[in-house]
Amino acid sequence: MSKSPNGHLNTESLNDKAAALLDKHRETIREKAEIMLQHSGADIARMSTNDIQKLLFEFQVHQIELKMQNEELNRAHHELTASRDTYAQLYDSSPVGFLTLNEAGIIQKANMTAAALLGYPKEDLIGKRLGKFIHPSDQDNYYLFIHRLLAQKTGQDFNANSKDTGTWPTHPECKYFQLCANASQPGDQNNGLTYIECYARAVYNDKNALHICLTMNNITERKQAQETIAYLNEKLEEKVRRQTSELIVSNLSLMKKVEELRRSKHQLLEREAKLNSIFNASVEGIITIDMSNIIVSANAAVETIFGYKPEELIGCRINDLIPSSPKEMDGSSLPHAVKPAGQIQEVEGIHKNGFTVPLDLSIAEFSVDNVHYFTHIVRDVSLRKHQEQQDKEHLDELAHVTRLGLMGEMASGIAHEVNQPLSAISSYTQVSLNLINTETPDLVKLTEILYKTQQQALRAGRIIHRMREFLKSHVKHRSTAEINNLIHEAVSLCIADFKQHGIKLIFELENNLPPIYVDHVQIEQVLINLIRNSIDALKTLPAKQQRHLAIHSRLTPNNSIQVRVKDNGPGLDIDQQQKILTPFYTTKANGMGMGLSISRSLIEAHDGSLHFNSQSGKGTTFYFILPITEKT
Amino acid sequence: MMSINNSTPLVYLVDDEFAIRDSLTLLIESTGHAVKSFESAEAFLNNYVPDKPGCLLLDVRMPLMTGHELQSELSNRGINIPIIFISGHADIADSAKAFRAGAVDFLEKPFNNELLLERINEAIKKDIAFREECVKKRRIQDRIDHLTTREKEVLGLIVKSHSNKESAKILNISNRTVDVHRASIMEKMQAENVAELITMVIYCETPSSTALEERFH
Repeated sequence: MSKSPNGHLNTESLNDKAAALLDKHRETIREKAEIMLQHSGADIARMSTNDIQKLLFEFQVHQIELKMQNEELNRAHHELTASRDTYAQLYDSSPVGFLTLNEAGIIQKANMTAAALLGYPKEDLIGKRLGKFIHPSDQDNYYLFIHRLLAQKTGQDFNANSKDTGTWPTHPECKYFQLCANASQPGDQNNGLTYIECYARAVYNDKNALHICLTMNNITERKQAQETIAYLNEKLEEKVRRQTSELIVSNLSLMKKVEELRRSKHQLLEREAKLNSIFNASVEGIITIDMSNIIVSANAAVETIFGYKPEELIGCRINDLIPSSPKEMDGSSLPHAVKPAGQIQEVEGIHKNGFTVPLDLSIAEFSVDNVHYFTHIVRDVSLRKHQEQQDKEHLDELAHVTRLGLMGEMASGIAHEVNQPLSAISSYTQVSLNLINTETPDLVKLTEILYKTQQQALRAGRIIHRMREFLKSHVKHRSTAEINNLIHEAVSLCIADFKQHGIKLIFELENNLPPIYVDHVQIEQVLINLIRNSIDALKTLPAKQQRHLAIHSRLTPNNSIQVRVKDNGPGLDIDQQQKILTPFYTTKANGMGMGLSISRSLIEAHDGSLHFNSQSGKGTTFYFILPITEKT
Repeated sequence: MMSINNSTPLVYLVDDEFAIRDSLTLLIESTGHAVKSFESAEAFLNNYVPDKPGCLLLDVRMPLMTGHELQSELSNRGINIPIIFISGHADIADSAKAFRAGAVDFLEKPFNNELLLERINEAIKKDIAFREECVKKRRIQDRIDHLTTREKEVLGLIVKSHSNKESAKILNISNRTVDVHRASIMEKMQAENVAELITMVIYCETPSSTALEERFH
């Protein structure tokens, strides 16, 4: 058996004590036995040999028996000693600290573990108060613990005595308390404090004194581990809290973002819907192609322009529709191929039926994921082209028509220009006359002045010549025309004025009039001139008065066409009527007095005649008659 | 004193057309008037000196500044020279505009030479009369300017036909003092009697619009 030196020493002394006690006990037994033998009255001297022999025999038997018993006892003693040693060793070497306290809490017994825990040699512990080792902060707990233990025990005893004597009640182990061992001991842990867990029970010893048996477990590590865990827990909780708040914040912002996304998605959807409606309702064809000129989308309008349904076009090449499109819409050709958005180029498209369609084309580029697309917006401009053509033709005619106006303007200029030399001539001749009338005329000066006069006369002649040249340039070309058509044409050129001045236009045109063979531009000029005269007259009427302009055409009994332009304007007085057809007579602030004069000569050039009748305050009617002449 | 009558009248002529300037210069000079012609309104404005009586023959249509524009510019500058417009293309609106702005006449080219010369003479006479009137007024004004403040007050009351007594009362001075002022005024103003004095002052105060008045009467 291996024992700690302390333990060994203790056990030997016990053994010695036990052996001494045994020897003493044996001696006492010997003395008692001898006394008992004397008292029994048996006298060996008076006994027969036989009896003595019998007795001896019996003694021998007893002796053997006793020896055997003694051996038995010795063996039991050894066993007991061994067992006691074992227990003592168990007591000392138990990992649990054992303490026995008396009622006052003074240590009576302690095992090695307890001594190690408390940091004192076992011997030094005996007689000390356990309370001394308890950490001040746990003192109250400790005393409460002991007090409760003792109180429980006494109460228990009372009960036990009265009711259930004999059986040692297995009263519950005291709930464990954590006590702090004093840190002042050198052998103690580094952090200074040792945590122990105590279980205790109060028992009565053989002297009927109350003892407290107490076990101590070092739970410092566990405690530390718990503290660490608690600390970690706390940290974790804090972290969790922090993260939770962070999560809440980020959750809020996410919710906001989600809301925003939902809104923008809504807007996008709305916009898409709008764009879609535009896309489909657009009169312009909208065709999107990819970089290899393949059509990826087309709207409904393409059908009216090209004759193909949108779905027929998807997958086709744009060049089939618009041959002039660049062959490849790759990045390199981009700057040349795609004009800036909004720039319109005129191209020709090919309709399903093979005809070409004049188109206005504008191309916009966009890219999705680095893939470029080109949106072609095409407008069918056939109508416009046609209109343009018509307008151009009409403009040519208008150029003739406005020549009349130009002539007025020119006549005004010419009048001014001609007046200058005439005025100069007048003055020069006056000077010449004055010179001649002097007594000695200065012939040199006179010659000079007459020369200047001549120059001015020639200058006036040149101006007149220029005017004649202008009039000559007006070549006549006649063709068959319907007079009613000419009237409509002329009216259409004045329509804006009718609207502007609130003039009601009345047509009284005879149907199926025979065609006339005229220079229709000239006749239109006359008509326009008459209509404009009427408009100008009607303009002078007060705003409240109704303004009427009637145009009338008919076949006269002598097979001529008569056209009347009648207004309800202020009319002409007698004086005006006398002068109205003479050149340069005008009633208008800015008129030249050439319009009617020219109109009359134009009508007369067609072998017709121009007339008027007018009543001051009631209106004026101008009319002309054109003979129906066959093409010669 | 200025001698108006001694200075020769001068006819100014503004027309962009050389032939007109040349022929009219010859014509007007043949009647004894001096002529100064300019080919533009701007040239006239830069060279005009108002030291001689005269008139202005002015073309309506000219490049840059027109005749009408020159007319209003002269009026803005306070130059009161009678203007006879001569126009190659007479226009009612044009002539009305010219007359409204105070033109003496508006003649259409080619014009009757005698009529033109007649109008020129009339215009010059008007200008001379106007200038004389101005000189007279200035003389009277000079005399008035030489009066003392008190004398001017008394003169004002005389013109309003107040008697000496009334004037003395109004001015809160003695009759005798008024008499002294009155005598001094009569002397300074070179007036023979009160009637002449009043005529002088009233004449001086009427605007110089002889030209206009005569034309309309």
